[in-house]
Amino acid sequence: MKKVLCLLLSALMVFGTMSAAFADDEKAFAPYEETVKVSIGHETVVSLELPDGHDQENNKYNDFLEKALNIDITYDWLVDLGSMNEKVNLAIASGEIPDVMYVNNQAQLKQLVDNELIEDLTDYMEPYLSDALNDRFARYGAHGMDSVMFDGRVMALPNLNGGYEFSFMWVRRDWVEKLGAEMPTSLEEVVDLARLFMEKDPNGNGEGRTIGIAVNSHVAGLYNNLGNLDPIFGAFKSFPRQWLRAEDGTISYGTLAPETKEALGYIADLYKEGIIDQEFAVRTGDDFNSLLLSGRCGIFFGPWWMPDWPLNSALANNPEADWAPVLAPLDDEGVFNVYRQRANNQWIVVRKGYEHPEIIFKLLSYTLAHQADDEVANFYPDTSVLWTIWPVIMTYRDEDTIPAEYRQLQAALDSRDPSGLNKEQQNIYNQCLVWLDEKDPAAWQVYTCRVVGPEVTARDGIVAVDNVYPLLTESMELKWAGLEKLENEMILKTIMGEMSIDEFDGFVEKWLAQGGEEITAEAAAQFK
Amino acid sequence: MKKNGFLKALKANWWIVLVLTALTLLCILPIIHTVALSFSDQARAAAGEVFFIPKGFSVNSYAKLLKESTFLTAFWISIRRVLLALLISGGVTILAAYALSKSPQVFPGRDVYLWILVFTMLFNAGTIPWYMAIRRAGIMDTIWALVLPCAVNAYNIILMMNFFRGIPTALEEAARVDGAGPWRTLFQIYIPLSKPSIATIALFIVVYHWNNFYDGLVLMSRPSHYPLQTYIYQLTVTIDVRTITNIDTLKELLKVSGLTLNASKLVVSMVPILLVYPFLQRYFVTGLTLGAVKE
Amino acid sequence: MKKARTSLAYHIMMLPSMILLLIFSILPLSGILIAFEKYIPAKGIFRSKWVGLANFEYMFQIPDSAQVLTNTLIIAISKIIMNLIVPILVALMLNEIRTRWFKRTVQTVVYLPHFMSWVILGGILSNVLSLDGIVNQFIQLLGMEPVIFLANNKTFRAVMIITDVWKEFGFGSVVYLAAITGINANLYEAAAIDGASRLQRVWHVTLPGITPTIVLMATLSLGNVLNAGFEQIFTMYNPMVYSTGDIIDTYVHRTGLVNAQYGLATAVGLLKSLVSMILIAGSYKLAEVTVDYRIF
Repeated sequence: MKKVLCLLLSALMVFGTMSAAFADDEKAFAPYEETVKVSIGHETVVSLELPDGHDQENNKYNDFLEKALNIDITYDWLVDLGSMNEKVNLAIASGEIPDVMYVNNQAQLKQLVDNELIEDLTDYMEPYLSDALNDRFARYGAHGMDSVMFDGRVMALPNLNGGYEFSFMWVRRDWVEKLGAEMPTSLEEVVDLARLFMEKDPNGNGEGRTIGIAVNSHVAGLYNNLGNLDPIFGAFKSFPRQWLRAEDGTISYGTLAPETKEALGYIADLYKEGIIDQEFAVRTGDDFNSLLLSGRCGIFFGPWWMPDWPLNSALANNPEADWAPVLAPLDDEGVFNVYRQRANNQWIVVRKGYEHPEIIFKLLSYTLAHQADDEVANFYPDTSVLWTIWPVIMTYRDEDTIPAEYRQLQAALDSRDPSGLNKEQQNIYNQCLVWLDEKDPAAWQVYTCRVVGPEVTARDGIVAVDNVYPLLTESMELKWAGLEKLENEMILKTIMGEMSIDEFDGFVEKWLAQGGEEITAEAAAQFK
Repeated sequence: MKKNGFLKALKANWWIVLVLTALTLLCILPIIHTVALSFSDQARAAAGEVFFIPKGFSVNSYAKLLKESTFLTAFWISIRRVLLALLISGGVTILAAYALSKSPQVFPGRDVYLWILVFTMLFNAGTIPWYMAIRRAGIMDTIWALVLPCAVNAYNIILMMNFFRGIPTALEEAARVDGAGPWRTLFQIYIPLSKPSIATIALFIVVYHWNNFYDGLVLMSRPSHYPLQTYIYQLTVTIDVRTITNIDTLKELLKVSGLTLNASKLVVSMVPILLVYPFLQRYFVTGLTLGAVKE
Repeated sequence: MKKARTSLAYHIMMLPSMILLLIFSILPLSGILIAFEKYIPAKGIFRSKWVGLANFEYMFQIPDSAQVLTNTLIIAISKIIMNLIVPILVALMLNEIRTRWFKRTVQTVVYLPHFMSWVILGGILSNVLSLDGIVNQFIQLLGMEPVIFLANNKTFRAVMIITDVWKEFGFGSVVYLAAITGINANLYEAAAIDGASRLQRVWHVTLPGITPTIVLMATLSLGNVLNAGFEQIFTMYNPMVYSTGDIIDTYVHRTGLVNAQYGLATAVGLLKSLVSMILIAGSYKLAEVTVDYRIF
């Protein structure tokens, strides 16, 4: 079981892997002649447990890189995600940052540039960007680098997010069958099913203890995460928190749209009826997860990778828990509405004055090229190691990686011919066969995550709205935090019934008056 | 006989006994509830069956806890932090309090020192300059960052100072006649006479350093250096999905540790306070009142 | 000569405290300048652009300011009043109890929450106050609708105030108990001879006896008018209750550390420090005048 998980986690990284071309990449892969010291500010996983007393700072992955590139890695900080923002802000405020630092938000990147704290990487791109990475950026197109360009200079190295990671419905199919119901497609059917689950209590939770739909406290508008209500908003053609471009090119903010008002009103009614988790605003991640795993809830929305997490332990908790994806709810015209991802949401920067800015290209290229090596996979064979163990690594995907790889895999499974697959995909292929032929529960996760979930993203009838991601504008820097607070409060209060839906128009006016209008104009100017 | 006394008292004061009993229960029941949760079966705890008695008794969560090295490390860091603080903060407090308990005639400059102390207690420049000062001092991400910046606590010093002032000056006079200087007077007369208030201050220091989570959050640079309360804080915060950048970190945020495991962590972090508290309790009532309310 | 040596010893005793204060409190005070600057970290405190009172002006323009100030005042003042009254009542009741073991037990238990951190109590309370928690189970037993206490703007402030009183009332009663013990026993005997009932004795002897202490504690707590309890609220609030639960300190934390508006955060903090200092100085003066108490 452990082994499977381990395999799987390395497989998860495959989407970010590229076949390295060593020949032309001499500079990107060459070790330093003299040992180079580098300090890194990085995010980590609090509960990381490695054998032999190894930890995030001292482990075989680090040794591997240090030896290969002749470098000496130390960490200025390693904090968990929750404290990352504050740590970076404090570093910026004090004017002292590590040699190499992760940045997880665009505002901080801009501050680093404005404060002249980071090195211009433009001149290092060409000689040190590996061919594989170069291709990757080329395939993505110009908007893959938009967020790091300041006055025509490259100030940071961005990640590249894949598309097709929108949320759709995940449902307990065994409950549906037990109750003799149908898999839903329209919004009404989704809600009716939730209602049915609550009334009939297929899990035997006791009266009133089954939750219709589990939701996270952010509610909507954050790409690629679980527990949002994006699909319900989508059924109303509403896209809260997104900047939308109309056909005539005008830019508007999705939260303000009349469709959002309509959707919010509908969701508020669902909340009032008790279908939406009553405590969603105060749930910690822990609570949210246990709702799904303990059988308290049978419906939530999330992207393709749900079987990898958090549903991977659902089967272990309860052999009957059969979570299945459904492309629902569809709108009146039978369309599933989504919005597009933002190309970059993580960046790596180099301290101004650090002598070897090229080190990030070397570290990244080398890691991406070797992370799937057999040797690396066997560093800690009995432990599931998350990829944040690598000192420098980020997501690199093509926009259509997820459906494309699904199609390849499905074709191979149909013909039972894996010869066209690369090595990692072959591993996945084998696991899928174990599930298909033997129904071994240990292989459920791989099959559901690689085939069943991604299959949904490859379907017809999914329409993406034309949403854009403006770069940080001047007014945003000063006023966005206040507007975001206003927006959050409006959404939460409306759903929980503290604010009536009639107050929505008042919110729109207030939002525009408190800087929203300026920001919209500034954002629009970027897309002229 | 004793029991009869209580029964008689109960009869005379039944409503007072009732109210006080209710208040007492109000204070202890949430804690008992948490203890009960920590010893319960995970499923029955999640089903909301547990009140004040464990259901499906199990020590599973404690067994799990013992395997979680980050928790144990954090626990150990907090213990070390408290011991260091007792030594350092306790030391500077006693010294400063003794000097300040002297009149300006004997100790010229006393009022200036006191003024500085009070001013810094009331006035600070906020988190960022404080962070930069600690960075400049070169103690960032070390245990000293948790101990030194808050070692001087004006409130404790003033409390101690007021207590020292309550000690009859005749004793000091006598010592001076015997040729004892300030150091000997402090160590041989004042400290032995001040056990209750030293115990009180010690209790305050222990409680402050054991309970503080914010400085660990800001000043420590890796989870393996977090003190216990910072670690616990991380467990209980509401998820902020905006910060998620990749699946792995999301997984970390969503890992199911469960009600019972969290309860056991809360229980274990209460233990040191529960252990120290009864020993010091009998002192702090006298210590506190002598310091704060003088005639 | 000897006198000089003695005072030298005192100076040396002050030295460790003063060094620590210099490094960690006094030198960082230069950071106050950030409140008057458009702070550019790379340029540092002394070379960033001076903007005068712009940050303060901006602070009064933000719509949040009024809300945050209101929340702070309501929560803080309610806490001050409740934390004054409840401990007095508890001390008066405890004083009536003659059975030692009962008194000891009550005291030991009610002092306890004071020594627990808000992180731990926050964990316990959010569990106890959740929809499935024991409080709501009890409420439902009484036939009432359950309440999501921590995500409801009608209840959040009350929960903050009540849980704070819950945490502190026992410890607060210590001072009053001591003051009651200090009352001359002859007064009670005289009252008993006059045939005073127990309530009358409390009213005419005990309460006047502890009035100076009450006045003192009330005056000293004035300094907390802007302190609504950062740790408590920080560990229990969420975006849903910002409109009733966001206080100055949490606001400063978010603006400074999360949103990186250093100038604004420092300005707000500075203003709060100033007002608190004036209040405290005033209240100490008041204590000196009314009950002739000098803390220093």
